[in-house]
Amino acid sequence: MVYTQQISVFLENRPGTLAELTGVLCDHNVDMRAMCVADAMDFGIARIIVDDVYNTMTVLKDAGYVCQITKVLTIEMQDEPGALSKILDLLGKEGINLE
Amino acid sequence: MGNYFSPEKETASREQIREWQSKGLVDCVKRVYENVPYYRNKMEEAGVTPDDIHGLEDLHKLPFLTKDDLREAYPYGLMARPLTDCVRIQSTSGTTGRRVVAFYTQNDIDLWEECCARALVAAGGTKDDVVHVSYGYGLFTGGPGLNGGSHKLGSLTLPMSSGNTDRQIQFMTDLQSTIICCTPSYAAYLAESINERGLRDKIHLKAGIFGAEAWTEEMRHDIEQALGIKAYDIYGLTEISGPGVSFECSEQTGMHINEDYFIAEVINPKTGEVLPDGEKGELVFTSFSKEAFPLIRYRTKDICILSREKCSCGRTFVKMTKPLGRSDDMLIVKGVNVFPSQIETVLLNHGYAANYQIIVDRQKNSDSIEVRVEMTPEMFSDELSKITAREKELVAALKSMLGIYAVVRLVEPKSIIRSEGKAVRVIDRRNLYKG
Ligand SMILES: [Zn+2]
Repeated sequence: MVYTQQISVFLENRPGTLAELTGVLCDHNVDMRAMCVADAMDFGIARIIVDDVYNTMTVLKDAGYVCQITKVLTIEMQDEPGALSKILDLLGKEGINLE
Repeated sequence: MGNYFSPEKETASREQIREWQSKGLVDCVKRVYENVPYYRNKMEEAGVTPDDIHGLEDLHKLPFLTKDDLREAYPYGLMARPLTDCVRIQSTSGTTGRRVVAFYTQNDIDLWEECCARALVAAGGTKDDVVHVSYGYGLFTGGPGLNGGSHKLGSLTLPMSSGNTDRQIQFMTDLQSTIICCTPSYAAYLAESINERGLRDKIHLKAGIFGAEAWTEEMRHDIEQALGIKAYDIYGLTEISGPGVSFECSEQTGMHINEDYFIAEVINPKTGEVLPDGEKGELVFTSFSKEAFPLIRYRTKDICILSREKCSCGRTFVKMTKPLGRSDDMLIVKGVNVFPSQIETVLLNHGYAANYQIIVDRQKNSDSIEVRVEMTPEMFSDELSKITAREKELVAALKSMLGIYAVVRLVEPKSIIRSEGKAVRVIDRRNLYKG
Protein backbone atom coordinates (compact mmCIF):
# COMPACT_ATOMS: atom_id res chain seq x y z
CA MET A 1 0.00 0.00 0.00
CA VAL A 2 1.43 3.34 -1.04
CA TYR A 3 0.38 6.92 -0.28
CA THR A 4 0.72 9.41 -3.07
CA GLN A 5 -0.07 13.10 -3.43
CA GLN A 6 -3.00 14.31 -5.44
CA ILE A 7 -3.77 17.89 -6.43
CA SER A 8 -7.37 19.09 -6.19
CA VAL A 9 -8.32 22.15 -8.22
CA PHE A 10 -11.47 24.25 -7.93
CA LEU A 11 -13.25 24.68 -11.27
CA GLU A 12 -16.43 26.44 -12.25
CA ASN A 13 -18.94 24.28 -14.01
CA ARG A 14 -19.08 26.02 -17.37
CA PRO A 15 -17.91 25.03 -20.84
CA GLY A 16 -14.17 25.13 -21.35
CA THR A 17 -12.91 25.26 -17.76
CA LEU A 18 -11.39 21.80 -17.86
CA ALA A 19 -9.76 22.51 -21.22
CA GLU A 20 -8.30 25.74 -19.78
CA LEU A 21 -6.81 23.77 -16.89
CA THR A 22 -5.27 21.08 -19.07
CA GLY A 23 -4.06 23.87 -21.39
CA VAL A 24 -2.18 25.54 -18.54
CA LEU A 25 -0.59 22.23 -17.53
CA CYS A 26 0.36 21.45 -21.10
CA ASP A 27 1.94 24.91 -21.57
CA HIS A 28 4.19 24.15 -18.63
CA ASN A 29 5.02 20.63 -19.75
CA VAL A 30 3.26 19.03 -16.83
CA ASP A 31 2.59 15.39 -17.55
CA MET A 32 -0.56 14.10 -15.91
CA ARG A 33 -0.61 10.52 -14.66
CA ALA A 34 -4.29 10.48 -13.82
CA MET A 35 -7.25 12.81 -13.59
CA CYS A 36 -10.83 12.67 -12.44
CA VAL A 37 -13.51 15.30 -11.90
CA ALA A 38 -16.15 15.45 -9.22
CA ASP A 39 -18.85 18.01 -9.75
CA ALA A 40 -21.74 19.65 -7.95
CA MET A 41 -24.33 21.92 -9.59
CA ASP A 42 -22.22 24.91 -10.48
CA PHE A 43 -18.67 23.92 -9.63
CA GLY A 44 -16.39 20.93 -9.66
CA ILE A 45 -13.11 19.63 -8.31
CA ALA A 46 -10.52 18.31 -10.73
CA ARG A 47 -8.21 15.81 -9.07
CA ILE A 48 -4.95 15.17 -10.78
CA ILE A 49 -1.86 13.09 -10.15
CA VAL A 50 1.43 14.34 -11.54
CA ASP A 51 5.12 13.58 -11.07
CA ASP A 52 6.26 16.91 -9.67
CA VAL A 53 3.53 17.95 -7.26
CA TYR A 54 5.16 21.12 -5.94
CA ASN A 55 6.13 22.46 -9.35
CA THR A 56 2.59 21.83 -10.58
CA MET A 57 1.10 23.58 -7.55
CA THR A 58 3.21 26.64 -8.34
CA VAL A 59 2.12 26.58 -11.98
CA LEU A 60 -1.55 26.36 -10.97
CA LYS A 61 -1.36 29.06 -8.29
CA ASP A 62 0.43 31.40 -10.68
CA ALA A 63 -2.39 30.81 -13.16
CA GLY A 64 -4.86 31.91 -10.46
CA TYR A 65 -6.34 28.55 -9.48
CA VAL A 66 -7.36 27.61 -5.97
CA CYS A 67 -5.86 24.20 -5.33
CA GLN A 68 -4.55 21.98 -2.57
CA ILE A 69 -2.60 18.80 -2.04
CA THR A 70 -4.34 15.78 -0.58
CA LYS A 71 -2.79 12.51 0.45
CA VAL A 72 -4.39 9.56 -1.32
CA LEU A 73 -3.98 5.86 -0.95
CA THR A 74 -3.00 3.87 -4.01
CA ILE A 75 -3.84 0.22 -4.12
CA GLU A 76 -2.59 -2.18 -6.74
CA MET A 77 -5.22 -4.62 -7.87
CA GLN A 78 -5.57 -7.58 -10.14
CA ASP A 79 -7.06 -6.94 -13.55
CA GLU A 80 -9.88 -9.44 -13.13
CA PRO A 81 -13.62 -9.32 -12.49
CA GLY A 82 -14.53 -8.64 -8.87
CA ALA A 83 -11.15 -7.20 -7.86
CA LEU A 84 -12.58 -3.70 -7.22
CA SER A 85 -15.63 -4.91 -5.35
CA LYS A 86 -13.38 -6.98 -3.06
CA ILE A 87 -11.60 -3.80 -2.00
CA LEU A 88 -14.80 -1.76 -1.76
CA ASP A 89 -16.41 -4.45 0.40
CA LEU A 90 -13.49 -4.27 2.79
CA LEU A 91 -13.68 -0.47 3.03
CA GLY A 92 -17.46 -0.57 3.39
CA LYS A 93 -17.27 -3.02 6.28
CA GLU A 94 -14.94 -0.67 8.11
CA GLY A 95 -17.28 2.24 7.44
CA ILE A 96 -14.78 4.12 5.26
CA ASN A 97 -16.33 6.49 2.76
CA LEU A 98 -14.78 6.84 -0.67
CA GLU A 99 -14.66 10.43 -1.98
CA MET B 1 -30.58 49.53 37.11
CA GLY B 2 -27.07 50.75 37.10
CA ASN B 3 -24.78 53.72 37.33
CA TYR B 4 -24.97 56.73 35.09
CA PHE B 5 -22.56 59.53 34.37
CA SER B 6 -25.39 62.04 33.94
CA PRO B 7 -28.33 60.41 35.74
CA GLU B 8 -30.70 63.38 35.44
CA LYS B 9 -30.19 63.33 31.66
CA GLU B 10 -29.89 59.63 30.95
CA THR B 11 -33.02 58.65 32.85
CA ALA B 12 -35.13 61.73 32.09
CA SER B 13 -38.77 61.27 31.14
CA ARG B 14 -39.64 61.11 27.45
CA GLU B 15 -41.59 64.38 27.84
CA GLN B 16 -38.53 66.06 29.32
CA ILE B 17 -36.29 64.80 26.50
CA ARG B 18 -38.78 66.02 23.91
CA GLU B 19 -38.82 69.42 25.57
CA TRP B 20 -35.00 69.68 25.49
CA GLN B 21 -34.99 68.68 21.85
CA SER B 22 -37.78 71.06 20.86
CA LYS B 23 -36.18 74.01 22.55
CA GLY B 24 -32.73 73.09 21.25
CA LEU B 25 -34.00 72.73 17.70
CA VAL B 26 -35.77 76.10 17.66
CA ASP B 27 -32.63 77.83 18.99
CA CYS B 28 -30.33 76.00 16.61
CA VAL B 29 -32.40 76.79 13.53
CA LYS B 30 -32.43 80.47 14.45
CA ARG B 31 -28.69 80.44 15.03
CA VAL B 32 -27.78 78.86 11.72
CA TYR B 33 -30.30 80.92 9.75
CA GLU B 34 -28.75 84.10 11.09
CA ASN B 35 -25.09 83.07 11.00
CA VAL B 36 -24.60 80.54 8.21
CA PRO B 37 -25.40 81.69 4.66
CA TYR B 38 -25.21 78.11 3.44
CA TYR B 39 -28.03 77.07 5.77
CA ARG B 40 -30.05 80.20 5.05
CA ASN B 41 -29.88 79.47 1.30
CA LYS B 42 -30.88 75.87 1.80
CA MET B 43 -33.82 76.87 3.97
CA GLU B 44 -34.93 79.55 1.56
CA GLU B 45 -34.81 77.04 -1.28
CA ALA B 46 -36.99 74.74 0.80
CA GLY B 47 -39.33 77.60 1.65
CA VAL B 48 -38.86 77.46 5.44
CA THR B 49 -37.82 80.15 7.89
CA PRO B 50 -37.15 79.92 11.64
CA ASP B 51 -40.74 81.16 12.14
CA ASP B 52 -42.01 77.83 10.84
CA ILE B 53 -40.09 75.84 13.43
CA HIS B 54 -41.86 75.73 16.79
CA GLY B 55 -40.58 72.41 18.06
CA LEU B 56 -39.69 68.83 17.29
CA GLU B 57 -42.95 68.36 15.38
CA ASP B 58 -41.66 70.76 12.71
CA LEU B 59 -38.32 69.02 12.18
CA HIS B 60 -39.58 67.30 9.03
CA LYS B 61 -40.03 70.68 7.33
CA LEU B 62 -36.28 71.28 7.30
CA PRO B 63 -34.13 70.17 4.35
CA PHE B 64 -31.69 67.31 4.72
CA LEU B 65 -27.95 67.85 4.78
CA THR B 66 -25.64 65.34 3.07
CA LYS B 67 -21.95 64.66 2.80
CA ASP B 68 -22.07 66.51 -0.54
CA ASP B 69 -23.15 69.65 1.32
CA LEU B 70 -20.20 69.24 3.67
CA ARG B 71 -17.86 68.91 0.70
CA GLU B 72 -19.38 71.90 -1.04
CA ALA B 73 -19.14 74.04 2.07
CA TYR B 74 -15.57 72.88 2.84
CA PRO B 75 -13.82 74.08 4.89
CA TYR B 76 -15.63 76.95 6.68
CA GLY B 77 -19.02 77.12 4.96
CA LEU B 78 -21.09 75.47 7.71
CA MET B 79 -19.50 77.14 10.71
CA ALA B 80 -21.94 78.81 13.05
CA ARG B 81 -19.27 80.47 15.21
CA PRO B 82 -16.16 82.49 14.28
CA LEU B 83 -12.94 80.51 13.99
CA THR B 84 -11.52 82.36 16.97
CA ASP B 85 -14.11 80.67 19.22
CA CYS B 86 -12.95 77.24 18.08
CA VAL B 87 -10.35 75.18 19.91
CA ARG B 88 -10.13 71.95 17.89
CA ILE B 89 -10.41 70.38 14.48
CA GLN B 90 -11.04 66.69 13.79
CA SER B 91 -11.41 65.06 10.43
CA THR B 92 -12.73 61.95 8.74
CA SER B 93 -10.44 59.54 6.94
CA GLY B 94 -12.24 60.47 3.71
CA THR B 95 -11.47 57.67 1.30
CA THR B 96 -13.46 59.33 -1.48
CA GLY B 97 -13.37 62.97 -2.41
CA ARG B 98 -12.50 65.74 -0.03
CA ARG B 99 -12.27 65.00 3.66
CA VAL B 100 -14.82 66.27 6.10
CA VAL B 101 -13.44 68.71 8.65
CA ALA B 102 -15.36 69.38 11.88
CA PHE B 103 -14.78 72.34 14.21
CA TYR B 104 -15.27 72.37 17.97
CA THR B 105 -15.60 75.08 20.59
CA GLN B 106 -14.60 74.16 24.14
CA ASN B 107 -18.28 73.47 24.89
CA ASP B 108 -18.47 71.17 21.88
CA ILE B 109 -15.46 69.24 23.17
CA ASP B 110 -17.00 69.05 26.65
CA LEU B 111 -20.27 67.73 25.26
CA TRP B 112 -18.47 65.10 23.19
CA GLU B 113 -16.28 64.00 26.07
CA GLU B 114 -19.31 63.79 28.33
CA CYS B 115 -20.91 61.41 25.82
CA CYS B 116 -17.78 59.24 25.95
CA ALA B 117 -17.78 59.34 29.75
CA ARG B 118 -21.38 58.09 29.70
CA ALA B 119 -20.28 55.21 27.45
CA LEU B 120 -17.50 54.32 29.89
CA VAL B 121 -19.86 54.34 32.87
CA ALA B 122 -22.40 52.24 30.94
CA ALA B 123 -19.60 49.71 30.43
CA GLY B 124 -19.04 49.59 34.18
CA GLY B 125 -16.35 52.27 34.35
CA THR B 126 -15.61 54.36 37.46
CA LYS B 127 -12.89 56.77 38.50
CA ASP B 128 -10.97 53.80 39.88
CA ASP B 129 -10.54 52.25 36.46
CA VAL B 130 -7.46 52.26 34.28
CA VAL B 131 -8.65 53.10 30.79
CA HIS B 132 -6.40 51.84 28.02
CA VAL B 133 -7.11 53.77 24.82
CA SER B 134 -5.74 51.98 21.77
CA TYR B 135 -7.69 53.95 19.19
CA GLY B 136 -5.56 56.13 16.95
CA TYR B 137 -4.90 59.67 18.20
CA GLY B 138 -4.83 62.55 15.78
CA LEU B 139 -7.39 63.82 13.32
CA PHE B 140 -9.33 60.59 13.85
CA THR B 141 -11.86 61.06 16.66
CA GLY B 142 -11.44 57.61 18.28
CA GLY B 143 -8.43 58.30 20.52
CA PRO B 144 -9.23 61.91 21.53
CA GLY B 145 -12.88 61.04 22.25
CA LEU B 146 -12.38 58.15 24.63
CA ASN B 147 -9.32 59.85 26.12
CA GLY B 148 -11.45 62.88 26.99
CA GLY B 149 -14.28 60.73 28.30
CA SER B 150 -11.92 58.90 30.59
CA HIS B 151 -10.55 62.23 31.91
CA LYS B 152 -14.08 63.48 32.58
CA LEU B 153 -14.79 60.34 34.55
CA GLY B 154 -11.56 60.76 36.50
CA SER B 155 -10.15 57.39 35.48
CA LEU B 156 -6.44 56.86 34.97
CA THR B 157 -6.03 57.20 31.23
CA LEU B 158 -3.42 55.39 29.17
CA PRO B 159 -3.16 57.20 25.82
CA MET B 160 -1.62 54.22 24.04
CA SER B 161 -2.82 54.99 20.51
CA SER B 162 -2.80 52.14 18.00
CA GLY B 163 -0.04 49.71 17.03
CA ASN B 164 3.00 48.27 18.81
CA THR B 165 1.15 45.31 20.24
CA ASP B 166 4.05 44.21 22.48
CA ARG B 167 4.07 47.55 24.26
CA GLN B 168 0.27 47.52 24.50
CA ILE B 169 0.38 44.15 26.27
CA GLN B 170 3.24 45.18 28.52
CA PHE B 171 1.41 48.30 29.72
CA MET B 172 -1.77 46.30 30.06
CA THR B 173 -0.12 43.80 32.39
CA ASP B 174 2.23 46.20 34.25
CA LEU B 175 -0.30 48.98 34.81
CA GLN B 176 -3.31 46.70 35.16
CA SER B 177 -5.58 48.25 32.58
CA THR B 178 -9.21 47.46 33.35
CA ILE B 179 -11.04 48.92 30.34
CA ILE B 180 -9.75 48.72 26.78
CA CYS B 181 -11.00 51.02 24.01
CA CYS B 182 -10.12 50.15 20.40
CA THR B 183 -11.55 48.80 17.18
CA PRO B 184 -13.13 45.34 17.47
CA SER B 185 -10.66 43.89 14.98
CA TYR B 186 -7.72 45.17 17.02
CA ALA B 187 -9.35 43.76 20.16
CA ALA B 188 -9.55 40.35 18.49
CA TYR B 189 -5.91 40.63 17.48
CA LEU B 190 -4.83 41.73 20.95
CA ALA B 191 -6.76 38.83 22.49
CA GLU B 192 -5.00 36.39 20.23
CA SER B 193 -1.59 37.87 20.99
CA ILE B 194 -2.23 37.83 24.75
CA ASN B 195 -3.30 34.20 24.67
CA GLU B 196 -0.38 33.20 22.45
CA ARG B 197 2.01 34.68 24.99
CA GLY B 198 0.21 32.85 27.77
CA LEU B 199 -0.54 36.16 29.55
CA ARG B 200 -4.29 35.72 29.97
CA ASP B 201 -3.84 35.43 33.78
CA LYS B 202 -1.73 38.58 33.91
CA ILE B 203 -4.32 40.95 32.46
CA HIS B 204 -6.95 42.70 34.56
CA LEU B 205 -9.40 43.81 31.89
CA LYS B 206 -13.09 43.70 32.76
CA ALA B 207 -14.63 45.53 29.81
CA GLY B 208 -13.94 46.77 26.32
CA ILE B 209 -15.51 49.56 24.28
CA PHE B 210 -15.22 48.76 20.62
CA GLY B 211 -16.32 50.88 17.69
CA ALA B 212 -15.37 52.66 14.47
CA GLU B 213 -16.02 49.58 12.36
CA ALA B 214 -18.68 46.96 11.76
CA TRP B 215 -18.57 43.86 13.96
CA THR B 216 -20.86 40.96 14.68
CA GLU B 217 -22.36 39.22 17.71
CA GLU B 218 -20.06 36.31 16.92
CA MET B 219 -17.02 38.58 17.18
CA ARG B 220 -18.36 39.95 20.44
CA HIS B 221 -18.66 36.46 21.83
CA ASP B 222 -15.15 35.49 20.70
CA ILE B 223 -13.54 38.62 22.17
CA GLU B 224 -15.45 38.25 25.44
CA GLN B 225 -14.37 34.63 25.77
CA ALA B 226 -10.75 35.23 24.78
CA LEU B 227 -10.21 38.14 27.19
CA GLY B 228 -12.75 37.30 29.89
CA ILE B 229 -14.43 40.69 29.53
CA LYS B 230 -17.75 42.26 28.55
CA ALA B 231 -17.55 43.87 25.11
CA TYR B 232 -19.60 47.00 24.42
CA ASP B 233 -20.36 48.72 21.15
CA ILE B 234 -20.03 52.47 20.62
CA TYR B 235 -21.18 54.52 17.63
CA GLY B 236 -20.39 57.95 16.35
CA LEU B 237 -19.27 60.02 13.43
CA THR B 238 -16.95 62.98 13.18
CA GLU B 239 -19.61 65.13 11.53
CA ILE B 240 -21.81 64.86 14.61
CA SER B 241 -18.98 64.86 17.21
CA GLY B 242 -17.16 61.52 17.25
CA PRO B 243 -17.55 58.27 19.19
CA GLY B 244 -20.23 58.39 21.86
CA VAL B 245 -23.14 59.68 19.78
CA SER B 246 -24.60 56.42 21.04
CA PHE B 247 -23.30 53.67 23.31
CA GLU B 248 -24.24 50.28 24.61
CA CYS B 249 -25.42 49.55 28.16
CA SER B 250 -25.34 46.40 30.28
CA GLU B 251 -28.20 44.94 28.24
CA GLN B 252 -25.99 44.87 25.09
CA THR B 253 -29.03 45.01 22.82
CA GLY B 254 -28.46 48.27 21.00
CA MET B 255 -26.91 51.67 21.61
CA HIS B 256 -28.58 54.51 23.56
CA ILE B 257 -28.40 57.76 21.59
CA ASN B 258 -27.49 60.81 23.68
CA GLU B 259 -30.81 62.49 22.98
CA ASP B 260 -30.19 65.51 25.15
CA TYR B 261 -27.65 66.57 22.49
CA PHE B 262 -28.72 64.79 19.31
CA ILE B 263 -32.06 64.23 17.62
CA ALA B 264 -32.25 60.95 15.73
CA GLU B 265 -34.66 60.13 12.91
CA VAL B 266 -34.90 57.15 10.60
CA ILE B 267 -36.01 57.87 7.06
CA ASN B 268 -36.79 56.00 3.88
CA PRO B 269 -33.56 56.68 1.95
CA LYS B 270 -35.39 56.81 -1.38
CA THR B 271 -38.24 59.16 -0.47
CA GLY B 272 -36.96 60.99 2.60
CA GLU B 273 -40.16 60.09 4.47
CA VAL B 274 -39.71 59.77 8.25
CA LEU B 275 -40.32 56.19 9.41
CA PRO B 276 -41.84 55.09 12.71
CA ASP B 277 -39.73 53.37 15.39
CA GLY B 278 -39.06 49.73 14.61
CA GLU B 279 -38.69 50.29 10.88
CA LYS B 280 -35.40 49.95 9.07
CA GLY B 281 -34.09 53.04 7.31
CA GLU B 282 -31.36 55.65 7.09
CA LEU B 283 -30.27 57.29 10.31
CA VAL B 284 -30.44 61.10 10.35
CA PHE B 285 -28.98 63.30 13.09
CA THR B 286 -29.54 66.87 14.19
CA SER B 287 -26.75 67.99 16.53
CA PHE B 288 -28.65 70.98 17.91
CA SER B 289 -26.37 71.53 20.91
CA LYS B 290 -23.20 71.98 18.93
CA GLU B 291 -21.93 75.57 18.79
CA ALA B 292 -19.31 75.62 16.05
CA PHE B 293 -20.57 72.99 13.66
CA PRO B 294 -24.23 72.15 14.26
CA LEU B 295 -25.68 69.87 11.59
CA ILE B 296 -29.39 69.81 10.86
CA ARG B 297 -30.92 66.60 9.53
CA TYR B 298 -27.58 65.15 8.50
CA ARG B 299 -27.98 61.91 6.55
CA THR B 300 -25.50 59.36 7.90
CA LYS B 301 -26.12 56.76 5.13
CA ASP B 302 -26.11 54.19 7.93
CA ILE B 303 -29.13 51.91 7.93
CA CYS B 304 -30.53 51.02 11.33
CA ILE B 305 -33.66 50.61 13.43
CA LEU B 306 -34.66 52.77 16.41
CA SER B 307 -36.41 51.36 19.46
CA ARG B 308 -37.94 53.18 22.43
CA GLU B 309 -38.79 50.04 24.35
CA LYS B 310 -38.00 50.26 28.04
CA CYS B 311 -34.42 49.24 28.76
CA SER B 312 -33.47 47.27 31.85
CA CYS B 313 -30.55 49.65 32.49
CA GLY B 314 -33.02 52.43 33.32
CA ARG B 315 -31.89 54.78 30.56
CA THR B 316 -34.72 56.42 28.66
CA PHE B 317 -32.70 57.44 25.59
CA VAL B 318 -33.81 55.81 22.34
CA LYS B 319 -31.76 52.80 21.24
CA MET B 320 -30.37 52.16 17.75
CA THR B 321 -29.27 48.86 16.30
CA LYS B 322 -25.76 48.46 14.96
CA PRO B 323 -25.65 49.85 11.43
CA LEU B 324 -27.18 47.11 9.27
CA GLY B 325 -25.84 48.45 6.02
CA ARG B 326 -25.37 51.58 3.96
CA SER B 327 -28.07 53.41 2.09
CA ASP B 328 -25.83 54.55 -0.75
CA ASP B 329 -26.20 51.39 -2.73
CA MET B 330 -29.56 50.04 -1.64
CA LEU B 331 -31.36 47.63 -3.96
CA ILE B 332 -35.00 46.67 -3.76
CA VAL B 333 -35.44 43.00 -4.58
CA LYS B 334 -38.87 41.39 -4.30
CA GLY B 335 -39.94 44.49 -2.42
CA VAL B 336 -37.24 43.99 0.20
CA ASN B 337 -34.43 46.49 0.82
CA VAL B 338 -31.10 44.82 0.22
CA PHE B 339 -27.76 46.46 0.96
CA PRO B 340 -24.61 45.04 -0.61
CA SER B 341 -22.84 45.73 2.68
CA GLN B 342 -25.21 43.28 4.42
CA ILE B 343 -24.15 40.60 1.97
CA GLU B 344 -20.51 41.54 2.50
CA THR B 345 -20.94 41.14 6.26
CA VAL B 346 -22.38 37.66 5.85
CA LEU B 347 -19.55 36.64 3.53
CA LEU B 348 -16.87 37.89 5.90
CA ASN B 349 -18.57 36.15 8.84
CA HIS B 350 -18.44 32.89 6.97
CA GLY B 351 -14.78 33.11 6.06
CA TYR B 352 -15.17 34.16 2.44
CA ALA B 353 -13.29 37.07 0.94
CA ALA B 354 -15.18 40.28 0.26
CA ASN B 355 -14.79 39.57 -3.44
CA TYR B 356 -18.36 39.20 -4.54
CA GLN B 357 -20.81 40.33 -7.12
CA ILE B 358 -24.55 40.66 -6.85
CA ILE B 359 -26.63 40.01 -9.93
CA VAL B 360 -30.25 41.06 -9.79
CA ASP B 361 -32.57 40.00 -12.56
CA ARG B 362 -36.27 39.93 -13.27
CA GLN B 363 -37.86 37.09 -15.18
CA LYS B 364 -41.62 36.79 -15.65
CA ASN B 365 -42.15 39.68 -13.22
CA SER B 366 -40.27 37.90 -10.47
CA ASP B 367 -37.02 39.25 -9.06
CA SER B 368 -34.05 37.02 -8.44
CA ILE B 369 -30.76 37.71 -6.73
CA GLU B 370 -27.56 35.80 -7.26
CA VAL B 371 -24.43 36.29 -5.19
CA ARG B 372 -21.20 35.31 -6.89
CA VAL B 373 -18.39 34.59 -4.49
CA GLU B 374 -14.78 33.97 -5.40
CA MET B 375 -13.36 30.74 -4.04
CA THR B 376 -10.42 31.20 -1.67
CA PRO B 377 -7.74 28.72 -0.57
CA GLU B 378 -9.19 28.85 2.96
CA MET B 379 -12.68 27.85 1.86
CA PHE B 380 -11.57 25.20 -0.61
CA SER B 381 -11.61 21.54 0.24
CA ASP B 382 -10.88 18.37 -1.65
CA GLU B 383 -14.29 17.12 -0.54
CA LEU B 384 -17.30 18.26 -2.55
CA SER B 385 -19.57 17.62 0.40
CA LYS B 386 -17.63 20.09 2.57
CA ILE B 387 -17.84 22.82 -0.04
CA THR B 388 -21.54 22.28 -0.65
CA ALA B 389 -22.23 22.22 3.09
CA ARG B 390 -20.44 25.59 3.46
CA GLU B 391 -22.40 26.86 0.47
CA LYS B 392 -25.67 25.83 2.12
CA GLU B 393 -24.70 27.55 5.36
CA LEU B 394 -24.02 30.70 3.39
CA VAL B 395 -27.39 30.52 1.65
CA ALA B 396 -29.13 30.11 5.02
CA ALA B 397 -27.19 33.02 6.56
CA LEU B 398 -28.03 35.26 3.60
CA LYS B 399 -31.69 34.28 3.91
CA SER B 400 -31.74 35.24 7.57
CA MET B 401 -29.89 38.53 6.93
CA LEU B 402 -31.82 39.65 3.85
CA GLY B 403 -35.17 38.01 4.41
CA ILE B 404 -35.18 36.66 0.88
CA TYR B 405 -33.58 33.71 -0.85
CA ALA B 406 -30.39 34.41 -2.77
CA VAL B 407 -28.67 31.96 -5.08
CA VAL B 408 -24.99 31.50 -4.22
CA ARG B 409 -22.56 30.77 -7.01
CA LEU B 410 -18.96 29.93 -6.23
CA VAL B 411 -16.64 31.20 -8.93
CA GLU B 412 -12.94 30.96 -9.65
CA PRO B 413 -10.58 33.50 -8.08
CA LYS B 414 -10.22 36.81 -9.92
CA SER B 415 -13.13 35.96 -12.19
CA ILE B 416 -15.29 38.83 -10.95
CA ILE B 417 -15.14 41.70 -13.40
CA ARG B 418 -13.06 44.61 -12.24
CA SER B 419 -13.29 48.03 -13.76
CA GLU B 420 -10.28 50.22 -13.12
CA GLY B 421 -9.11 47.81 -10.45
CA LYS B 422 -12.34 47.97 -8.45
CA ALA B 423 -14.77 45.08 -8.58
CA VAL B 424 -18.20 45.88 -9.97
CA ARG B 425 -20.35 44.91 -7.00
CA VAL B 426 -23.84 45.10 -8.37
CA ILE B 427 -25.21 44.24 -11.77
CA ASP B 428 -28.90 45.09 -11.98
CA ARG B 429 -30.29 43.63 -15.18
CA ARG B 430 -33.80 44.91 -14.50
CA ASN B 431 -33.11 48.43 -15.82
CA LEU B 432 -35.62 49.83 -13.36
CA TYR B 433 -34.42 53.39 -13.53
CA LYS B 434 -34.04 53.74 -17.27
CA GLY B 435 -36.58 54.95 -19.82
ZN1 LIG C 1 -29.97 50.34 28.35
